[in-house]
Amino acid sequence: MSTAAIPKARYLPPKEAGSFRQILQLYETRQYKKALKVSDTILAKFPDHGETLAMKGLILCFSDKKDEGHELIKKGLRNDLTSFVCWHVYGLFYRSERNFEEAAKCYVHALKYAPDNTNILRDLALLQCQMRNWEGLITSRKSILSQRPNVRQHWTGLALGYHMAKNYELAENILSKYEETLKELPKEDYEHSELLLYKNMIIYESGDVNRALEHLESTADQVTDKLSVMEYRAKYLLELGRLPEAVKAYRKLLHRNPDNKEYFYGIEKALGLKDDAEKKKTLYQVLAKQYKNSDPAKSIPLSFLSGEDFREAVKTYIVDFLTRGVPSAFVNLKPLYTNATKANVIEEVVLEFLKTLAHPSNGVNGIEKNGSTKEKDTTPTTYLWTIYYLAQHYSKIGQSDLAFEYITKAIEHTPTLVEVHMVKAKILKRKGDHVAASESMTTARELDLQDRFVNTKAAKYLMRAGQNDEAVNVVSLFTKNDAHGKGVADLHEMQAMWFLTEQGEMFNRLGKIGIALKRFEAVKKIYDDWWGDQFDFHQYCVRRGTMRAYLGLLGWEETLYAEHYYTRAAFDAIQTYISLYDTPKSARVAAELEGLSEEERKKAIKKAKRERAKQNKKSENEKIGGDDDPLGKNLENTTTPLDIAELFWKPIAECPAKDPSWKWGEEIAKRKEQSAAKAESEVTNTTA
Amino acid sequence: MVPNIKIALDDLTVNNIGVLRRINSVVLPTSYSDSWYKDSLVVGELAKLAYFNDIPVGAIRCSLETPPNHKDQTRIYIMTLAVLSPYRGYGIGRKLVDHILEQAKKMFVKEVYCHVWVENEDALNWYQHIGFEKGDLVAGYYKKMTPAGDAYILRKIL
Amino acid sequence: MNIRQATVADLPGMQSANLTNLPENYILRYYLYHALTWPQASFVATDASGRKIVGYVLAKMEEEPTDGVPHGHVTSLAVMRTYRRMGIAAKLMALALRGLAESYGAKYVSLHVRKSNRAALHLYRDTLTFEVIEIEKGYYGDGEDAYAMKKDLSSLEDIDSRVEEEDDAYLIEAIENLKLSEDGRVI
Repeated sequence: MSTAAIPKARYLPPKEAGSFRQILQLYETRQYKKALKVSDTILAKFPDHGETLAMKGLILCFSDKKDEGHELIKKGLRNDLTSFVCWHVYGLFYRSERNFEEAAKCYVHALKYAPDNTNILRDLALLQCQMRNWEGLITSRKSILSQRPNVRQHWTGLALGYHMAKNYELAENILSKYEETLKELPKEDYEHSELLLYKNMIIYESGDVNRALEHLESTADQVTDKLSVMEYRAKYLLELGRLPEAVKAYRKLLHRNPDNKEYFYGIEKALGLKDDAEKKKTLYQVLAKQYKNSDPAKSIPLSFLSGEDFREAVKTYIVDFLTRGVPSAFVNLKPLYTNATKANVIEEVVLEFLKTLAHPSNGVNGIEKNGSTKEKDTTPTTYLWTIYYLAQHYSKIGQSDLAFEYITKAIEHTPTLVEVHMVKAKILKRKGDHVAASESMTTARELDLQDRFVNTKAAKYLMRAGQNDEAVNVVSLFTKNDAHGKGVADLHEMQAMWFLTEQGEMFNRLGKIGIALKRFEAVKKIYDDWWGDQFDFHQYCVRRGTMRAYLGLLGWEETLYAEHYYTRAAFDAIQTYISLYDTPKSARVAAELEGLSEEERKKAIKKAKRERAKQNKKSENEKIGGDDDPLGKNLENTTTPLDIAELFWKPIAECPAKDPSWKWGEEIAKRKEQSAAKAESEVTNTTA
Repeated sequence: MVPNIKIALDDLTVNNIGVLRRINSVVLPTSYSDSWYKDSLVVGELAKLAYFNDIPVGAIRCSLETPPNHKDQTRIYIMTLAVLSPYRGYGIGRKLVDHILEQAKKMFVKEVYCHVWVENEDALNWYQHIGFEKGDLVAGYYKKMTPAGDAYILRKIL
Repeated sequence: MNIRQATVADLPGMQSANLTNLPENYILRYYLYHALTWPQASFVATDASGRKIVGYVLAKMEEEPTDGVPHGHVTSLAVMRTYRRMGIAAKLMALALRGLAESYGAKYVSLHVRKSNRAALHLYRDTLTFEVIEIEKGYYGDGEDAYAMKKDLSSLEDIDSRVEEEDDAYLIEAIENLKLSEDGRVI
């Protein structure tokens, strides 16, 4: 088919052709109302004009009339199947629906009829990034670059394609060629600086560390990101075995940030200390002296020291925390508790330290200060933080009675300290007493209403105790609230995963399956949004030149659906849907009513009805943004629970970062097979 | 190693009013109503919390008594003063009272006073130690005690 | 505890720390915008396991500075209550300020603090030497006033050369000794 001559059906007389161009302009500037008016004038004369129909449809889609718009787009395309405009419009429609695969197909069609259209090529390139189609991206980017070689981002865009396709040589070449086009080297220019570091990263990934180091050093004066230069250099020197230089490079990094563990590990490696605990001990003694404010210099040795060395080191570490009144002593040492011997030593050390303290009950009590206990640490807070530590310690090692004893003492000592009530709550929670735990957390919250950390904990504990209304009241003290003063909608909008999963699980425990599923669906929607969020950055980062951060984005998206909150909500949802399949509603109702007399049965049904009515009335509290099924009754009553469970599972199954021990896919598949076999046998039965 | 001790005063606010409740409830024999606590938020500098190494451990709450006629003086009345027992002996109570005396000066108020139970010798001694004078005995002042407790008035004239 | 530059993969953890600690919240897209525009400006502190974010600073450059001077802005800073008093906030801030100055040429950095947030005011004014510029009435969504604060970045210390000049000999010597002890003797 010839693309040169305009097909009859597409032809518009000059006046209307001008109007059509006007539509495109109005669309670009988002003047949708005007654009619709103009398209109607064309359609009045040429009601079957495909491109006008498609444009009108697209604009309708962006004006909250998606269904009508979609129909028009399809009609337009049917009327003019060889129009690149119609295909591009259809692609834009799919893109706005975040259906990237279909959108890409449309763009490819569009390019058949307009192979050099840079707008379409660019749009296609973005989709290829989204779908990680690197070979396709190279083709599109080559085409764009050949048309617009004077714009940096088009060079970077092509280099990205080669880089992702692991063709490091071509990726580097493209960036070098771009540099050759520059008349003079920009100084102190952030975007150029990022480009140089991107190129450096490509050289390094190609495996030629020597050349990467050379390149890094020769361009360092043009790079503004000093920290990256130093980190790359240290890593390269280490890999190249230039060890004394590597030690120095890591020490320079420690001067900038003595709390980055990687720098310490770098020095260890450069010195070849591996498992030599004695030498490492000496090293860290030296480093701790030099970097006095460094936590890792003191905490890293705790992981490799043993015996008396460990005892000494952990004693110094803990006593420092306790006397300074740092609430985090325990959370900092928690990882050591996987080693029972170390946990034991810690216990001895802290108990010994406790003995050296002046006990408040026989010490300073009363109005005049007793001056005779000077030789001991009489500071009441030191005693307090010490017994606070012991409470956490005993709770962690499963001795909840002792834990409770210590925390009770701590609360008697200083009942105004938020932390002691929080730890009491945690101890009670571990014992399974969620109601008492929640009461303690509330006590903590009431001592500091301005602190959202304890507010969040209090709400979480209320939900663990099944007290939804109070929990919602509590979280709503920090949210933008609806007309009923509730912040549930705001927490959805702000993507508060902790709340959605916690509340969903609570509803699940309370047997409110529908609304529980609603929350798990909300979590899934947020993750799907996050997956979609990357889309705009395919263009943005290439333009801003932040390629290294962009690669971080691509990498993160690959692990997205293996993240804690997604898998937690997904597994909850899958489990629930599976149980809906395993025990259909009729069976659930029957089970509840089993063994009841006729009268009791009637009563139970009546009661259930009342509950439903009550819930429906309350549902306005839970209503999120005009949702007509706030209680999730439609989800609960689904006839295809396994299909929905599969929707939750699919992104996990496709996620490279998934844990192989997750078996929900098999559970779903097994049931699907059963169900298919059953359906088949039913068919054979009826036809037999 | 004996760490530094840092004592500081801070405002009573709607967010930390729970602290005043807690301190009063564990230290003082009398309990106060919700409305009393609510009123505590509007007396400005006359209610204050004391912090020991950033932990709230003491509180004072006073009221300004404006007389119905011109004959009597305007006075500041210390309604509650409490420090958690492990934190006594560090000058926290004194710091709280000093703060009130300073406010009194700023407001040109000439008298700060309070009631102390006759049996509470520690408190009687302490107030006198910091310059308050023992005044009249008010028989049966603590009505909720059985039998009703007597109180001394302790006052400081500025 | 571990402190390092924030990566995109840290953003959900930062968002979560923000939501559970501070009243001003943002959707993830806003964090993405920060991290993909000014990747050198944000830092995180993680717990001992390295997996959980216990503190963060989210910072940016002012895109259209009204005074024409390139400068940074701290969008959000949080440290979880259970990790306070370790100096994490100050450490995070120091790194972010250096990142802003070095990578983007920020001449100064600005931020807002809730008037009622004494602890934050203390940190910025006393520990980090920010100055209060003005009080912005009703700056926050709930009507609370904000202190507008700023800190000059023109005199950031050159810490890199300090290593060369001052104390190199000391550590090198210690490390040399360490190497000499191959025969089992430990210094």
